[in-house]
Amino acid sequence: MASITYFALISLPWWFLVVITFLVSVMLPTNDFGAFLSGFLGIGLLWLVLTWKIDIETNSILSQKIADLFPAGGDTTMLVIVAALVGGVSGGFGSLFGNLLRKIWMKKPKSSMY
Amino acid sequence: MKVIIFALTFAITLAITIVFSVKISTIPPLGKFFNPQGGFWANSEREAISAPNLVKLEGLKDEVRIQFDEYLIPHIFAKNDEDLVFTQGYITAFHRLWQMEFQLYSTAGRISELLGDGALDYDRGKRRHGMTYGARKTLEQWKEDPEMFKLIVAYTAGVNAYINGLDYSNYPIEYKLLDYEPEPWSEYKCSLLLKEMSDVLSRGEADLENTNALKLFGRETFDFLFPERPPLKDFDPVIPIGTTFDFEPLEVPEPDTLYPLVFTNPILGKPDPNNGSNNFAVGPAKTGGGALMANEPDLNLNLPSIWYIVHLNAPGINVFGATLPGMPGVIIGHNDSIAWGMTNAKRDLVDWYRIEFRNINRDEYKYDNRWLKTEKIIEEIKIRNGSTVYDTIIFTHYGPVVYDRNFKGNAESTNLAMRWTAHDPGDELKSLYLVNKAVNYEEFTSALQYYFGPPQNFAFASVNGDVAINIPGKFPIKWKEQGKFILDGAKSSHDWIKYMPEDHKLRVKNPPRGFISSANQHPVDSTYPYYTFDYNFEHYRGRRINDRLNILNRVTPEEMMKLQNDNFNYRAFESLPMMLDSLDTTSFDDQKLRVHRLMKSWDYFNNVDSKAASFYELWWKKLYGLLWDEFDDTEVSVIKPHIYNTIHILKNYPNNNFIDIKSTPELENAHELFERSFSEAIDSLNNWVTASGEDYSWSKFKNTRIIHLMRIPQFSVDQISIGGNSNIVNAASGRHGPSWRMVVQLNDQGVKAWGVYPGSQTGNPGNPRYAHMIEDWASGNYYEMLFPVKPLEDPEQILFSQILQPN
Repeated sequence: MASITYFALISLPWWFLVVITFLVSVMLPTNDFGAFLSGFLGIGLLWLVLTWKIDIETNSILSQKIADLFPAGGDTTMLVIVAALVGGVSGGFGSLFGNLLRKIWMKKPKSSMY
Repeated sequence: MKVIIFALTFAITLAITIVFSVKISTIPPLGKFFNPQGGFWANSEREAISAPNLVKLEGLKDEVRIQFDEYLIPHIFAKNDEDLVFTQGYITAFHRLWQMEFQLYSTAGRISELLGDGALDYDRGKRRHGMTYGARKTLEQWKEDPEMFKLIVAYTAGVNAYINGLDYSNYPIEYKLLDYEPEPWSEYKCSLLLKEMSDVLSRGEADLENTNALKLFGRETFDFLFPERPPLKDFDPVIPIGTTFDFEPLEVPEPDTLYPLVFTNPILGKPDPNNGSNNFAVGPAKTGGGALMANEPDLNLNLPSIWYIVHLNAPGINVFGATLPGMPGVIIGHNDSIAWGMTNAKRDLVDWYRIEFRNINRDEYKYDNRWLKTEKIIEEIKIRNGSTVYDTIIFTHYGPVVYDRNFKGNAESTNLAMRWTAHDPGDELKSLYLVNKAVNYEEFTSALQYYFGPPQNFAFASVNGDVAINIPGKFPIKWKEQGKFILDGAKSSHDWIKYMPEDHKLRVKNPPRGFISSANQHPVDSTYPYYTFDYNFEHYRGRRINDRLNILNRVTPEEMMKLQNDNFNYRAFESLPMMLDSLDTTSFDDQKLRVHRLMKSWDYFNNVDSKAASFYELWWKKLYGLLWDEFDDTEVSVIKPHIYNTIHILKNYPNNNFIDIKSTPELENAHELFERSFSEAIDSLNNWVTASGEDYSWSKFKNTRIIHLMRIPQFSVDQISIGGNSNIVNAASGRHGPSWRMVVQLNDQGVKAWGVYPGSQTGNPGNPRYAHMIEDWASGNYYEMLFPVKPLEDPEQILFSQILQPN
């Protein structure tokens, strides 16, 4: 999930991560909690790693200024966490929604097997 | 139940996706903005320059090489002029796209589109004083000169080539914060930028305030408060006294004037009266061989900086210097043979005409015995997340009726049309491009015939040792005091009829004193047969520069740099002794005595650590406020007399009525004013020290700061350790100062330049070099500029190379 999102977002707008987590969950069956968690962690960790890497590699050149500008207490780690949460929540819900939709679609064929 | 959960999840997912994609109040769209691959993180740069080494672009004719030196200055080597300016546009956009575009949103009165209705009044003002009107006319004129216009087209294509290669992830950070997209560049935007320069430099006037003051105080008092020239002993004009004028002047008949004395209030925002600059050049008599030139424009200090430095090289052109992001060619700089620099040549180029409409339909207005037709233009101002506001502007043959019943006018009675040279089209770009290529004084002067405005004192120096100063521009010939007050639009005798012929304009080459200089002072003495009025000439910087240059010999580039950074406070030198001598110290407490001693021992230099400079400034401010208290509670807008005349009045008329403080029953004289303002300044000093927790050394007290155009403190730099002030050669005041310092040496060895400015080539706050030159600028350090005739080969000198190829 994370790697598809990574490659997709090189050229696509950010909200494709919602589409991707949604599609992945439509295809890979799991329970609702698992779906949310995989979306949340998949994207959240991806964004955590990517932003953290940028923050460190650039000596917080811009993240420090943005952290001062927004109510993040001037702490770039906080900014990294906020970014991860934004990505995580978006991914989590995309994934959960995908899972719920699959279950509604799959319900009929599934029940007919019994 | 499942359906409800499903629906709820669907709603939440959709809501998150939408909410994280839109800007809410000042919060940028969180999903877009925090995305590490596209959001603000993508604007964090590891290297000073991150760009591909090879780019293929539509619109180029031939290959272009770009080499960035260690200061990120691009040296552009092209094979023809069009590719050269194409690349200038491309590279300028690479470093400064957001600034280029944003500043013109402001010029065109479109800020509401980005920031909402808070900016509506500002936008209306810009449109009403005719920025778009002048820009449209200029664009039409450009099109009639295909040779020049194709360069403007090429520049535009270059900017657009850069914009077309962008997606959200590499938009400058400001687009992401405000959540909007760059729009295509156009030739029209180049002409808007030209009008913006006129707006900054040639719209200053006080006609309405003068009219108000004349009506309030009467003629005699008005002339006492606002004399046109200082006494001869302090009069040191741009064109040295003694220069003769050998031509028959054109006459304009002076009518029996009766000014329409109408009160106006409030008044449209004006350019900063501190906008000004210094330039000076010394010839062989002063250098021992060759010439030296120095120039620095003193403007509002912002980030990204107003200037962008480039080196342009193609067959037939090799020019280096400061450019304005958004305009092709070099504005201030040098080529292989000459150097030139500008200071604002102040002259009253805005006049106001009271318009008498035939009736409330405003379709016709009176002009002698006739009724002339008006033209109505409906301006459409779009507002972010809101409706569109329409503003009808009436145009007369003078220009737009700025003040009327819909805008700052008093009902139907005040209709004021604006006549301004910047409403007329001009060929300044052609003029500057020819200057870029000029090789001697004759070609330079010939190029300036196309220069209309904003009028500048063009300093000139060449490798053969010539130094000169020319004041080109479009100057209406005025009868005495024409346009000093509101004029009568119904009288053709108040109109502008004739303009100054080219060979009547002011210029001087190799004057006997061996140097030329200008610092926004009076252009010339009264032997010049034309009326040259401005309300706001400078009285100090020019005299200091000339005092120094008169005594200097064997001048070196270092000497020129030292003079540019000179902190001598002429104002204090001429006012402080009078202020101190007047004080009766017998009843002073310890602190007052200490401050008094401090002031007595001051050398009048506003150096970084001078405490006396801070106290002088405070004391002066209190004194000036107490003295002109009469101006505080007038019901209409008036301006206070300028500093030079204030000191002159205190010295020579210590018992004048104005010196009395109106709020007290006693009648004060100058002595009492000095005492009282001294005490008040001490209190105010103590308050400042308590509040700031700092000592009151000058640079801390003054706080020179360079503010990002969006006023984001994190993208701005404050508390810069620099001396100087306004009215001082090193004109760094709080928000204002030397925006590009340049010194050029020209002799038989060739041309060598040094420069520095308070900012950086890169406009990206996420670049490690953002604002990197500020410290050196503040300390008076200059960088020696590279000026190769062909591409550099020494890799040590090249920070980054890029090749552009036609696609």
